[in-house]
Amino acid sequence: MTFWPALTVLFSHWRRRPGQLATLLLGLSLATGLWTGVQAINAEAKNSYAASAEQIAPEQFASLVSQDGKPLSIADFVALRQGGWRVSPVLRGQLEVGGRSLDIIGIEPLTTPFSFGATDQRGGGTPAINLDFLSGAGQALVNSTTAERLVDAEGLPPLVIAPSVPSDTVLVDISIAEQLLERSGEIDRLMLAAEQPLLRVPLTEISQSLRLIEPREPAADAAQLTDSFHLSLTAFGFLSFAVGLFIVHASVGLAFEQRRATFRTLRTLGLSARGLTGALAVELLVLALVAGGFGVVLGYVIAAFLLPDVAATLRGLYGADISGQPALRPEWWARGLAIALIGTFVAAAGSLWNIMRLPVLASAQPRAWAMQTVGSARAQTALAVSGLVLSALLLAFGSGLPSAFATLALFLIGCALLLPFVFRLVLKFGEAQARSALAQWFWADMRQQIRGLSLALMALLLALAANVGVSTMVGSFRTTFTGWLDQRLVAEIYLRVESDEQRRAVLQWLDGRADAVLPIARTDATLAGHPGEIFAMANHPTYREKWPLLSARDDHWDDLASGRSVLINEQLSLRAGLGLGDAIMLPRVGELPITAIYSDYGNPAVQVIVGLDTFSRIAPETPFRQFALRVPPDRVSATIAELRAHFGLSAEAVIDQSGIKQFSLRVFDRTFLVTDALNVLTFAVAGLAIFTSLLTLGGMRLPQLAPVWALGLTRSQLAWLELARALLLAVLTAILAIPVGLVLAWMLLALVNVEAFGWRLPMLLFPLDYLRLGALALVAAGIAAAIPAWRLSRIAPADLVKVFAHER
Amino acid sequence: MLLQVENVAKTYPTSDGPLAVLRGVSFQLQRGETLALTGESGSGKSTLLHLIAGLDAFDEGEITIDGKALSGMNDKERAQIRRECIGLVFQQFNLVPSLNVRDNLRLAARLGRGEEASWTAELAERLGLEPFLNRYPEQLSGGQQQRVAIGRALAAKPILVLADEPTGNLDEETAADVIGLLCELTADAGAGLLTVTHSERFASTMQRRLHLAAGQIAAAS
Repeated sequence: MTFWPALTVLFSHWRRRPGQLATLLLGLSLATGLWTGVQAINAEAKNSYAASAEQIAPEQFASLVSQDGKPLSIADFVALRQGGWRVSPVLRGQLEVGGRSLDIIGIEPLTTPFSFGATDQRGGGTPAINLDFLSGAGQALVNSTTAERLVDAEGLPPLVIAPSVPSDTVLVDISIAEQLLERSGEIDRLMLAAEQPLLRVPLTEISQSLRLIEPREPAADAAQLTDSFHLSLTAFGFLSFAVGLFIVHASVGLAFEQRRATFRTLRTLGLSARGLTGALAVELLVLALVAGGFGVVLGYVIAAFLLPDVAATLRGLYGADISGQPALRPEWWARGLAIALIGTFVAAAGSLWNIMRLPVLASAQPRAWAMQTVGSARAQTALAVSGLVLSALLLAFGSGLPSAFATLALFLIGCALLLPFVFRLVLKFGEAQARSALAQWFWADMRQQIRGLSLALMALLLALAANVGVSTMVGSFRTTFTGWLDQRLVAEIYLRVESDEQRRAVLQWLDGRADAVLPIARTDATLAGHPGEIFAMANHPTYREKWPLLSARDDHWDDLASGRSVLINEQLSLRAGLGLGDAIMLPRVGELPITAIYSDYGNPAVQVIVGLDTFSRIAPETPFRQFALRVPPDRVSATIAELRAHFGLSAEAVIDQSGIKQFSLRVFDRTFLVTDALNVLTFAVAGLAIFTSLLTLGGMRLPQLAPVWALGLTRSQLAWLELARALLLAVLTAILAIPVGLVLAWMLLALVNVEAFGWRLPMLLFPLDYLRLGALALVAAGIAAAIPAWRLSRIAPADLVKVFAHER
Repeated sequence: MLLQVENVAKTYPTSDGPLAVLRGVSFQLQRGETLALTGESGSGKSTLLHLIAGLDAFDEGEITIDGKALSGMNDKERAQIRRECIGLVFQQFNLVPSLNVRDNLRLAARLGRGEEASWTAELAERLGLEPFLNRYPEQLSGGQQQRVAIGRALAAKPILVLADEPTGNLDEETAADVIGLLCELTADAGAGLLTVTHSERFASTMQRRLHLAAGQIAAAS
């Protein structure tokens, strides 16, 4: 049995080199951790979307409501049923119970389109309706969270747990809802079953006062909208994974090269090539499983750390809610270990292949690992150019988000693969300029070193370019967003009143105290097939002077005010392909031409702005209860205080503009915490790759350094030169990473952002940030090179002499 | 017959055309017999040793070890022959740097027929390695490393010991010491010993001697 002794020999290498083992495990754990962490975040988010899709909400069905916003009557319900319409009544309202505001939804269980008795993915669902729900005191269906809050609450029917009911919502029979809400005989909406009889009486023949509302599909929308966000997270995770694999490749390659003599000895002692390859594969399997295990746990920690920020991002950008903490699920372990195994074998495939084909009598001298032949260097350059050409072709002819990401990925890979070629050119130039023998050797030796360091430098280039690209994108976004907020939040105070009476009183009070009182109102609507919102805008110089328009026709403000045209946001323009001069269909008023398009950063929905009169025709039931107030800047605080004192308005009801701006920027910054964190992690992994490569190359460079030492350079001089080389390489990489990063930023802003978010941003440059990043790369390379350089300065002369004795 | 080499030829391709390293070499070796292969550098002696060890394949002829012909064997079968029949000693020692002396000694036996603890202990004692059993190769002198290599080669009780310049890296005194031990232990094990050497002194201690020149046996004594 040759297998176990061979395996013992292989593992004895790691026992003697625990640092190298730690680096390999750390690289693989980090790679697996970042990948599984991002995957876990995506999985948690998708679980949340699925759970919310399964939650009961009357809005998920098309419904009939009254034109004027008033409640419907039992008679409407009866008339529709008699006309063949499969409708089900809903009565809905807020109720204070035990100091908590509850959303009471009353349904008619026999006709409701809600599916009862269904079980959701989490083993919950809505229990089957029984007679107790309909009769006597009835039942109140609530989820377990609401049930816990309502333990001591009085005035509600007996609680029954139904996980599909949203939090702070109580689902009861409509008769119970009538009692609880004190609205006997009223109906808020009539939900339409998905399938309706073909031979039903037309709606207009039954009633002229009914209006059809399209179903809202928040979950589906969220899943669709957030796909792009998850795709970008996945791309980031993959980038980190790839950078981590550079470390694994370097460590495994080095370990294989260091053991060439051992492999030859094992072969001469009677181990077959297949036996040796098998033992090496098992060794890798064990290492991958151990590192994968660490990686999965690390991934969990990363996911738990980043999930709150991801939740903030999704809420801020898309209005999608995700919640909960990630759980260490069995499929996590399986996927994490699988990706660790795949990654390890991908990273080690070349080395394994070489060992399998290694002749027994091949040189046992450890080559500088990952040394490239001239042929493979040419092949790499050709591959790089192909990647860049393909990226350019996709840029010219591709469309859609996957194409945008493919363009970006091919560009990055092409640039990374081209790096050694560019370095060779630069260093050759440096060598040609060198005057002294030492300088000439310095440049020539660095060119030699590039072969071994190229993988780590490629990893550094990717990390730096990603940093430059993402920080430029976020910086451009933030600057534009701040400017946009200044334009958009033009009024000094934003006010919301609770009732029509309060509105009258407040407006009367404001007369003479405010320079202008501009009404604001909104209503939901389906716009060019997309769920969105219609806003009302007053005709006032405030908007004319400052509203952030991207493009507009002449007289658009006058046309808007007179109801002859509308303004649309950039999202609607891009999603529906609408431009200036096109018309858009609006409820009750028909088609109106578009005369301006405005930027609307941060809004997940499509939007149309109409004049006040037009809005009143579209949504007569929606009262104007929000106002933008123009007051002299020195009067803002006093006016807010007086409004609150006079009318008992809450802090949320009267907000000054700076408060909203601060809040918006806070949300914005929180939104991009996750990309910042991933940026830092990727950079850290790249730093580790450089460190690993320099540390391991250090030992193998003695044959190159010993002759120079013998010629009269001191060990300390050699160490300083090694340090200078590492720093110079880092500086060169950072310089090359900046243009790559800027192209990446342009792609993110002009391609990915437009496809993913629906808006395009101007690209701004942040030279100080790039300088800081370059300095950081220098520090990282300095730290990484310090230990090998220090070791070199302390190396025993006997070890250098050994080089000449051919004992190495 | 322990080893029979019949008309063995080996050619290597070079940029200047094929280079014949061995041209019809034939000889035999019995159990308990010792034989020195001498010759100038490039005469083909190390190549011949590698072919006998099954480390490389010959183009023509036949090599038979203990009645088993190498020519039809695949990599796995040749590896098995090395494990079970052959002990190899190299000029560069070729110890496993991550294993200590004890584990290096046991390695060949564990890969081969299995370890005989008493024999390994006896080898360690006779080779004077007992004080160094827990040391690693890098902590040993050249002579000590070659002693470990000899112990490792004999630990699996091979029937044929092949040594390639075993004293090439050692000073004269240490070389004499190593030669003595190698011959003594091989004889005690009843194995045949075939050694490649430049050393006249070493060659003169062998029972027979073959001189190779330009890939052929030029002289036999």
